[in-house]
Amino acid sequence: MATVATTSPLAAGSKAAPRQRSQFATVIRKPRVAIPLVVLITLTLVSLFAPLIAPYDYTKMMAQPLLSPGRDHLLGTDDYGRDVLSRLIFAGRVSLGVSIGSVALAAVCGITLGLIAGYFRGWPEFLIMRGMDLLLSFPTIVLAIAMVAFLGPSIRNLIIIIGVIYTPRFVRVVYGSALVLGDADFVNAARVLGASNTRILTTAVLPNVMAPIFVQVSLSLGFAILVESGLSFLGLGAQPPTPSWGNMISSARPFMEMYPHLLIFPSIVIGLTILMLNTLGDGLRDELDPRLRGSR
Amino acid sequence: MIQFITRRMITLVGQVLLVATIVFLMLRLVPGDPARSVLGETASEEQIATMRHKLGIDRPVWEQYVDWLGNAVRGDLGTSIISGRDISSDIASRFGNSAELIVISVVLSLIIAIPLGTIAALKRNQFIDVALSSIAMLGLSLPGFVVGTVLVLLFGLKWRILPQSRFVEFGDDPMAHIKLLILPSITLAIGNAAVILRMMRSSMLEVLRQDYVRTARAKGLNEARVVRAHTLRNAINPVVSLVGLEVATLLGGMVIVEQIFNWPGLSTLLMSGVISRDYPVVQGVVLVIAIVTIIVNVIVDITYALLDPRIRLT
Amino acid sequence: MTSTPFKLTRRGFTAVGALAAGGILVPSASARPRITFPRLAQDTPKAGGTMIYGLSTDPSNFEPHVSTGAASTSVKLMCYSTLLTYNADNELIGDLAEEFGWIDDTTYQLKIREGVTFHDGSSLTVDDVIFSLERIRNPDTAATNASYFNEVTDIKAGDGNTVNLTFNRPFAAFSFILANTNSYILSQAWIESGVDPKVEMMGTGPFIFKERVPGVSITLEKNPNYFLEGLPYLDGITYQPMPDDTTRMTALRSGSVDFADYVPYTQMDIITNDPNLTFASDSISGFGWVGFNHEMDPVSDVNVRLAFAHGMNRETMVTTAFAGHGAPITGGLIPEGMLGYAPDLEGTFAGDYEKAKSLLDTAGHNPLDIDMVSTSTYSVIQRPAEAAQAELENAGINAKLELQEWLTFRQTVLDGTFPTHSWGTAIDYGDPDFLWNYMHSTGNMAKQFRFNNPDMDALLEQGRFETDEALRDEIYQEVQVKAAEVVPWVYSIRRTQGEAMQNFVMGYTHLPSWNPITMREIWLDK
Repeated sequence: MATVATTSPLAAGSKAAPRQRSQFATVIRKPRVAIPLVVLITLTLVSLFAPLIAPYDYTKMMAQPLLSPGRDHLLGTDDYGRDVLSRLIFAGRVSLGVSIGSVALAAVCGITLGLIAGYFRGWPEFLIMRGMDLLLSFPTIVLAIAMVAFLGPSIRNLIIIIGVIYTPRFVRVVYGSALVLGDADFVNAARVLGASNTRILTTAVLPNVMAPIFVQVSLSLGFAILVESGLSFLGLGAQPPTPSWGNMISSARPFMEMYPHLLIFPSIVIGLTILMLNTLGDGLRDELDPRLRGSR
Repeated sequence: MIQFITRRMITLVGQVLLVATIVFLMLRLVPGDPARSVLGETASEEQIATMRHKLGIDRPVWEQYVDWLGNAVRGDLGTSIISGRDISSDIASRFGNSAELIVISVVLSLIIAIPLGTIAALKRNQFIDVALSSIAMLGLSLPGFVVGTVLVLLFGLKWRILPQSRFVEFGDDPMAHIKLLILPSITLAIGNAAVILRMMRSSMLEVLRQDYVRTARAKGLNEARVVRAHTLRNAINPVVSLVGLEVATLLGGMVIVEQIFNWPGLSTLLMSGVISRDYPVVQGVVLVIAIVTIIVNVIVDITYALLDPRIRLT
Repeated sequence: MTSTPFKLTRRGFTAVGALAAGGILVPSASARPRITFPRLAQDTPKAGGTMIYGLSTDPSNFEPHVSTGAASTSVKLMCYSTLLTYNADNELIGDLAEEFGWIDDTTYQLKIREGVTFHDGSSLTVDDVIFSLERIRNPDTAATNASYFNEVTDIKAGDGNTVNLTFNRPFAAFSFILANTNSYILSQAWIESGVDPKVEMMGTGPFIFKERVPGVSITLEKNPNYFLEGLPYLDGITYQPMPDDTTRMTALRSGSVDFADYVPYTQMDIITNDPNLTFASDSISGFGWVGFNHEMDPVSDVNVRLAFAHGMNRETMVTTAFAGHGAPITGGLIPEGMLGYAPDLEGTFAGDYEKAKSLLDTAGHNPLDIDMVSTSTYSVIQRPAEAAQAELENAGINAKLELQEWLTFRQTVLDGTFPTHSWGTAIDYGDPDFLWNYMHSTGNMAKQFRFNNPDMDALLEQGRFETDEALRDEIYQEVQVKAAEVVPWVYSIRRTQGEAMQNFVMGYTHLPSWNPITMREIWLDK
């Protein structure tokens, strides 16, 4: 087997020092962490309290269709005459929910499987890694239509499906690093001292593979928002009239030329979310990584 | 190395067999009847039954499976239920088109993303890094169908530089073919470049903070040399891994780009097969995609070893 | 002997005049279905040139007797011919048959045109016609029109190049079946030579099939020996599949294609406002509906179904679903101009939310929460579904909509797992007998609705087997009155469907039957 070195093997030399609680408090005050955190928390709160914040009922086809942004409808109305701003506010529920849920699922499964494969080697490694090859071999559409047939269409199942699709990506990333770390001096030392495998994996190996995981998480979160609407034709995802940022963009496409506002506003929100997620990822990694703090 | 490749190729046979079996069974459990898609809306139940018999899908599943697998092993993927065409030859021509588009767009995105990702890492948190990262985020948040449609409206309609013309093979008219290739490869490359730029920046940062790089810098080596000699090679591994994943995903997952630009690729064939429940077509395409995906993974693993001599292939 | 399915009213002609003068059609949610034509060709046709046709769907195959959708019909009809067809006024005329009609109550006679040759040079014979009709009738073909031959007992050659079909009972609408684009006449020798008619075409049509590259193009060349003198004018047609609506319309607007089928409603305003383009459409044939599983509660209760019928303001639905590119159906489904049109019913279902609510009260289901299934594959079905959902909410009916991919949806409706569904299609042919399929207990759609009403069956049978036109007109009006009482299904709105072309494309007429036969008269004025 080849190793998938996401961190260079030399990284293993550095100590995964146990972190102090106060460190988080310090980190959170850094603007690079604080700003994206505030924006993301705001977005989440807006979604959660959507019914209180949205100016109109997001399902009501009340106004004239395709109104440009104006006083009554700040962001205009969509092709069914529904208020774009209200829909944007409500859409965060599905989009953030699906995106966070599915990536969390993929990350948990992927990290676990990747650590096992890279640390224990042998049969677990063979089964897991070649299994991931298999999963990658099925085109998304085939996997999705089959899973809809078995699980039925619902948002929960959409989260499961996207989670399954993204799992191999996390496995590959984690596996490579775990492979290298499994042989590192400090890991061997821990073994000699009688630490359990679980303890070694969680306290010594895992902290050292967090950097590539952060990147993978922040990239996947953005994709998941778009994949949600991509799979909605199978009955997965938000069903009409429920909005999601992804389905707002895809239904705006035919109107792009004459009514670009339908496309622009959800794109801005998605763009902002992804930018903030990535900035947060970068910030957290930089601030939490002991080596990097030393280098600045 | 040879031993490694041999072992993985043997595993590949097993994996592909498994994929073939799973996809075969999976399709038959998905609701929707190929006979109904052949016959259209007003077909009666008697007609459906007749058509099912004609198509041979009323036979026991295991019998159909053995027949199909037997032929597939001999390279015969059968004929399409819907179009009556030979599947192997349709896949062959479309695979070429897909591969061409993917390779070109991936190369394009590497050319854009590797230098820019490196620059972003070297100038971390400076203006250029923030600007590049923000542009990358924009690329990430715009789905392919938006980018593609914008390009069509601009280049095809507004400026009329690259009109939506009929697909021509490279051999028939190289210039026309290249003109057709431009917009779809840009569309695909934008998304990919954004992802690769992010990964490149991150892994470059990771490497830059290693002791040996610091040592090299401390020795007073010229910055460009440090980057070239010590870091690029080490930083590129995760990018290779990412590219491998992208290639595999694109093969069956770029329907929208293929449709917007009338590019007759494998994804469209797969999609129409899935939509019309054209069992043999879906089975054939998935089989091909599986083989390519697994081979790409082997190549990725070998590339690691070539780039980093410390990694042993076992 | 001649039937005029959609007689153009004076109003229709006035509209055409206005269109010819203005050149631009301003769409509106008018209460009446419209037929619109491109400008009338005044000049003498010029021969020559190849037309590039942007096709909305890559045809799945060319099987002549099984419907493969409207897009592939526009290819197949240029290679094959039917016995009857339509003229530019949408009247039935002979095509391969010079004369046609009932010679007595149970015998339908066709006099086959002489001197017609197939593309391979062989002559069309009466035997080819009989072979083709038998092929449609043969259950192994699973032909789309097979069921319309159920009452046929015998197909035989008669004197003087004629074919006689003997029926158990008279079938008034039979001419429409022969003019249908799934009733092509084939060469017996060619079919029996073992070719695959899914992959190749060889007929008597105005163009000869040259080549197909899947996903890329279908090439047809002029048939110099076409049986109509002087036709076709074009040297050939090249079809380019462009499944993406935006791409297809962009290609038309930028001039890379000359003609494009299926203009999405989102682009209709852009196309009609483009001075270089002509849009040809109707708002008659395509329609949408909310359907039921009559065996499921609570829609087994006629009051609940009536609440659905009254609970939708169709006028609003046309605006929300298609930005006005369509027409509401407030009475019967049979459009004005067709036999059986019921003017008295107009306005019956104008959208009366209070009435709907009181009907729900009567049924003991106010408000009503109900599941509805529709499909995401076709926006012309999905959009009316969403519009209906919003309308029904006003009437106290909360329909939880689930969108499925097309074949899954079809299976779901067939299995009857949802109490309601939202669907849409087109009127099959220009005779009110098309309602059979939806309302007679043996109709394929009615079976899926689980609808079975003996009175309705009796009425539809009366209509199908009656020969007197005036009587049939009355019968079908009564059918629709009955339908408004028992509510087998709730039809909602008609949609505008049409093709767009460059102004220099002349001679084409969009027919409300969606039969693209006038393509053979196209010439390029450039």
